[in-house]
This record gives sequence, structure tokens and C-alpha cells, in this order.
Amino acid sequence: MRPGRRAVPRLALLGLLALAGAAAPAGLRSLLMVMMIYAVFAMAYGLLLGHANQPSLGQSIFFGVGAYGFVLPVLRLDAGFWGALGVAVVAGAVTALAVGALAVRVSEAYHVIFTALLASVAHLLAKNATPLTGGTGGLPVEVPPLPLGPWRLSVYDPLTNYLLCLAAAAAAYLGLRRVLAAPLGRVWVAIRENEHRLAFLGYRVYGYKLAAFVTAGTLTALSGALYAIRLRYASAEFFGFEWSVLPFVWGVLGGLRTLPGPVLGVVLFTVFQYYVSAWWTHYLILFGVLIVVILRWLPAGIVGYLAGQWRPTRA
Amino acid sequence: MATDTSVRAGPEPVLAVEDLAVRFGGVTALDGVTLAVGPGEIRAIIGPNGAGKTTLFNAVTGAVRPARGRVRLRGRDITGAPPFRIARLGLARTFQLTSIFPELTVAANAWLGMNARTDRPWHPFARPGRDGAAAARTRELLAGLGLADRLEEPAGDLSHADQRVVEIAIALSLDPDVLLLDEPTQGVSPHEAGRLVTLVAGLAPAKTVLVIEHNVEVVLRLATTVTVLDRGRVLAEGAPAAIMADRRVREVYLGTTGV
Repeated sequence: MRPGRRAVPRLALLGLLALAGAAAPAGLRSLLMVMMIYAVFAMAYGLLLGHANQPSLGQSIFFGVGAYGFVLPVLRLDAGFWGALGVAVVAGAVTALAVGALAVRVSEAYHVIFTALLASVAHLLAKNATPLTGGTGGLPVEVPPLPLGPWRLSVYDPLTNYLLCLAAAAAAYLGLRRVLAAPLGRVWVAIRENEHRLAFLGYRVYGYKLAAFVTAGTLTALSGALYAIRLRYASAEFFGFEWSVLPFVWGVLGGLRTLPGPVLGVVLFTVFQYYVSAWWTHYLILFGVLIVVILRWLPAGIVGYLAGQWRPTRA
Repeated sequence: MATDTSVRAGPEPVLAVEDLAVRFGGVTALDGVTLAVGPGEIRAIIGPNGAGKTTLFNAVTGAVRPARGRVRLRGRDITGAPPFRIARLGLARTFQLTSIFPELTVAANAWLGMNARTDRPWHPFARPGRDGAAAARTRELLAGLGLADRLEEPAGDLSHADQRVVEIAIALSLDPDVLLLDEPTQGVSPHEAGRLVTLVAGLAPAKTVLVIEHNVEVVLRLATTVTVLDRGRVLAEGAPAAIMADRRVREVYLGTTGV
């Protein structure tokens, strides 16, 4: 069976990444960990824009909600690790349902404007609700121990934190892969291809688009929570505009229409950011040029371009 | 109105349109159209440009909301229902301008309608590829339309004529009782149009077909009954040969378009 054959390289990659966490120097491990957190975010955006055709520019809302969804229950309610993570994910889903219920109704350009506006309102509110959020200064948090079966692990152990992020990224990848191959995922792609026709085939398009929006928002919140866990900290800047732009940049770079595409985008961007920012503060200008070049010559992104080389499809 | 009453005396109509009117702002696109289509019939809808043919299809399929009148599908009132609901009741349509899913394979295009009529078309985890029965039905449908060896090609890569066939295949994949075809031979060479006409002719009597068509020869070959629309109204209705001989029809339709 095909999935059985594919399971071997997947498990090998997973094992290799786990091993890298144990063997790599602290700096590299930390870099890999950030990439895994971003990968969850990026894949969620690939699903939303690359498959279900919703160009949201407000994903920072769910990233911030996820971060505070974890931090606040720990600080205010003395919640345990899994409880707080659960709150973060559910808060992301509920927020996405509320935002999506409106955003999904408006298409393309209006969707961009509407979500971007909501995100800047959320940013403003978070900055000003200092008693709750700590504002721009943020809230430090002591992350509670992580109970797993008979063990009580701690994310203060870098390897544990690394493996937590690896598990989340792997689960997000495999889960999304499954959903995209299922009827739901195939209908999402059909929305991208021809939303208008789909309604005349018996599909209530609104519901399918909302499902994509909520799925993406939920995973983005998970990513935000992991980011807060890594820093033991959340601030109003988690709602900042850059967190809405980054997923777009990752996706455009690697290719939005595949699952590995946005992940490759994350890897390239993060490495670029890490190394180039060391010798030039305004490295983002260079990156902007790179994005323009890709949009002009590789509109399907790097993975999309490579996939097209193997199996030519119409651009 | 030169209405052939024998049509009405037949079996219970599958699709009945009563006094249907559609307005766009101040423009009346449809103005009291009444027609009844019996089971297994191929009804041609003809008329000059702007007569309201496509508007009639839009009003029947829920794309536009009528200002007045009723649409009944097998006696059930579907007036003003959203398109997805009407489609689920077994009424499918095609579009004058090809409206397919260009980057999906031909097989995936034809899968969409079949999936729509399953219990859980939104299933998040099922593996459609594993459903051998559905795959077999897709192959059978596409083989019947002459696309057997194009299954895995992106639909957008096919020739225009083949895309017109995919356009019909998508609608047929819903397994509808009633099929509305909006100019199926639009932009297709006469030679390839012949293939499409044979295809459409073969759909009845299993399905009830309404077809908008400009080509007189095609109408004569296909239709059991012809309805002529002019300026949003039914000008005439009857057997194809009689309609083509009708003086008023020749004036408004054949005269103006010069077909």
C-alpha cells in the first residue's frame, strides 16, 4: 500500500529531526525550533490562501490569541500545561469562527482589507488593554510542567521544548495532508479553481470557506501558543502587522499550493533572516527584492516551480 | 401565443415555470414566462440575443431571484432557493462561457458532482481515491463522453471542444434529472459540434433536457419541442418544424440573427 511505503521516509525524517534536536548545538536547535513553530503557521496559511483562496492579511489575530490563550490561563487561572494549550487552540478556533463568519462573505480585495483592518484593531486593543495583556511590554510567564503519561516534563529543558514543537509540526503536516486528500480538501481546491461553478454543483461554498478559515485560525493559534511557550512571554506585539505579512511571505517564497512549499519558505526566510541580519540591519529590503523576483518569475513559488518541472500543469 | 396545447396534456411536467419575471433595475429581462417540460423531453429554447434565454436559466437555477412567478421541480416549489439547494434536488446546468476547474484533472472535475450527492461531501478524513465504486462511475461517465484517455490531464489543457464536453460532464456528474445546457456548441467547429449534438441527443429520455441553441439545424435535430423567447416573453412554442415555419418566428429570430 502506498501510505505504508511513504511512512518509512517520513519516519526517517522525523527521527532525523528528533536526533538533530539532541545532537545539534544550542543555536542551531533553537533555530530549528523556531522554524517548526513557523511551519505550523505557514502550512495553515498555505491551506487558507493556496487551497481555499482566501487572502487573509489578519492572521496575526489568531497568532496573538493563541499566545495569550496560553499565557493568560496560566497566569490568571493557574491552569496546567495541557489545559492552557487547550484554551489557546479553542480560543483560536472561536475567534476564527467569529472573524470568518464575516470575512468569508467578502471576496478577494475586500477580504484583504477587512482582515487587515480587524488585525490592526486587535493590535491597538492589545496595546491599550495593559492590565490584561501587559501592552507592548508584555507578560512574562512561568510555563507549568508538561505531564505526559507517567512523566512530568519541563519546557525549560531545551530538548523537551524542541520535541514539543517537532511533534506539533509533524502532527499539523500529517493532519493537513490527510484533510487535503479528503473530500473537504478537494472541495477547497475546487473553490480556488472556480468558486462560482461549485454552487451550481450542490456545494454551500460559504460553509466550506468558513471551515478553511477556522482550520487555519486554529493552527495559527497553536503556533502562537508554541511561540509564547518558547519565549515564556507574550506581548501586544504578537498582534503586530508583521505576523500577518510573514505567512504571506513564507507562502509566496516556497509556493502556497503545496504543503511543503510554505515550510521551505519558512526555512529559507529564517536562515536568511538569521545570517543576513547579522551583517546588515536593513536585510528586509533585500528580501523584498527577492519576493518581487519570485512573484514575477516563479509565481507558483519554489516548490510549485519544481513540481511543475516534474509534472507540467498549466500556470 | 401560438402554444401547442398537446404538450400540456402530456404527463406531469418535471419542470414547470409559471409567469416568471426578472428585472435588473429598470430593465425587464423576463416578463411573464410560462412553460412546462415533460419527462424525457429535449426542449430547445431559442430567440434573438437579449431575449432572456440565459436569464431564464439563471432564474430557474437560483442564480437570480425572480421578481414574480414560480418555478416548480417535480411539483416542488424551488422559487428563490439558493443554487446549491436546487442542484441537490437534481437540477444541473452548464454555462455558455466554459466554467470548469482548469487545474483539476478531468477525473477530478467529474468527481465533484458525485461527491456533492454523497451523505458527507465535506468529509475531512476519507480518502476518495480508495472508493473504487466512485472511481469506476467517474471513468464510466467520462468514457461515455469520449474522454476515457484524458482522465488524468488538467481540464484546462484540453481543446475548447473537449472543454465543452467537460462542462457537460461536470453537470452530469451530479446525476441530475433535469439538465439545462446553455449553448453547448458555443465556439465549436461544425465537425466537433456534431459530436456534442449526438451526446446531448443521447441524454434523453433518461434525463429531461433544456437546451439554449442558436443553430437551427441543431435545434431541428435535437428538440422534441421548441420554445421561442423574444424580449422576455414566450413568442411561440411547438414542434420544431412548425416553429421554424412560423412567420413571426422567422421575422424576429431568423430575420434578425441571419442564422
